[in-house]
Amino acid sequence: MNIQDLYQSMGYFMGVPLFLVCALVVSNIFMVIAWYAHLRHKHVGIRKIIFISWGIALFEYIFHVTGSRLAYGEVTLPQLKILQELVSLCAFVVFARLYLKEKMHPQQALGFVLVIASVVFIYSGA
Amino acid sequence: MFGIIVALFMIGATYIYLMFSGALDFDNPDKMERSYQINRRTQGRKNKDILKALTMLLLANIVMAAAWYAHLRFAALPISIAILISWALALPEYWLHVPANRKGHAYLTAVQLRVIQTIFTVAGFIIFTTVFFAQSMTLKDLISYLCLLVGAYLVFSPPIKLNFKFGRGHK
Repeated sequence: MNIQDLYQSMGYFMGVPLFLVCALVVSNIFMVIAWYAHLRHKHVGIRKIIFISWGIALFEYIFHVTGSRLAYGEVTLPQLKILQELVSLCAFVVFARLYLKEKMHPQQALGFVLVIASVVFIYSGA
Repeated sequence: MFGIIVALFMIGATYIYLMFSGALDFDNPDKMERSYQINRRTQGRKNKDILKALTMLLLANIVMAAAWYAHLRFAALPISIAILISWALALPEYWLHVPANRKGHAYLTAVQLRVIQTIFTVAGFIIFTTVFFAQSMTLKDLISYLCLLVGAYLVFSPPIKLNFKFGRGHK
């Protein structure tokens, strides 16, 4: 199956291509690991960390570039960016809960409502 | 052009926020008493480190915007080549990003760093797309970005406690 066909067959939700959402979710899982996993390994030298993070980032880029390349045209640049920020926010919160053991609080729900509102607004025809 | 102004305004707001929160402090050391001057000197070093970290973060985010979106202008490029070029651009980004976070983490909280990162990623994106794609920013874009930033702040910051004191204060 061609990747273009896969993109088409996954369809849309409120104007957002679901293929793009999936690609961004996978890419952001790698990104959050590349960015923040080293926070628990402070003894490792900084040069080593840069290269390990960059190595992990290859997988981030495989999914990010594929997703945005297929969606671009239907989706504008600011739309791509704002969806990316929503997904990266979700990834960070899950990561902070699981890996850094941070507590969650209800104010975060309000924050997510605003971020989702911004995504809905920019993808709407308004 | 409007986009660049908005981006600069966002960056400026970040610096002002850091000055209000006390992380950055640019008082004139010559006016201080001698006993304070040692503190002033450490504050001077702190200012320098924070400003350096902020500059690195901003550059990292502009490079990141390039790595993520520059390939979109070259539609004829095969995906595999686009991925490799983007990944290559990511190396200077990480080279700036990781040390900036380490340097910043000595003086700023993780929350502050994450909020600054979010503001700078939007500002860097706006600067890059204005220059490289000649994109002009619409009012709709601006509203979405602001809504996004407020939401991101609420997600990252610890619960905000509002204590308004109306009328008679209690002693």
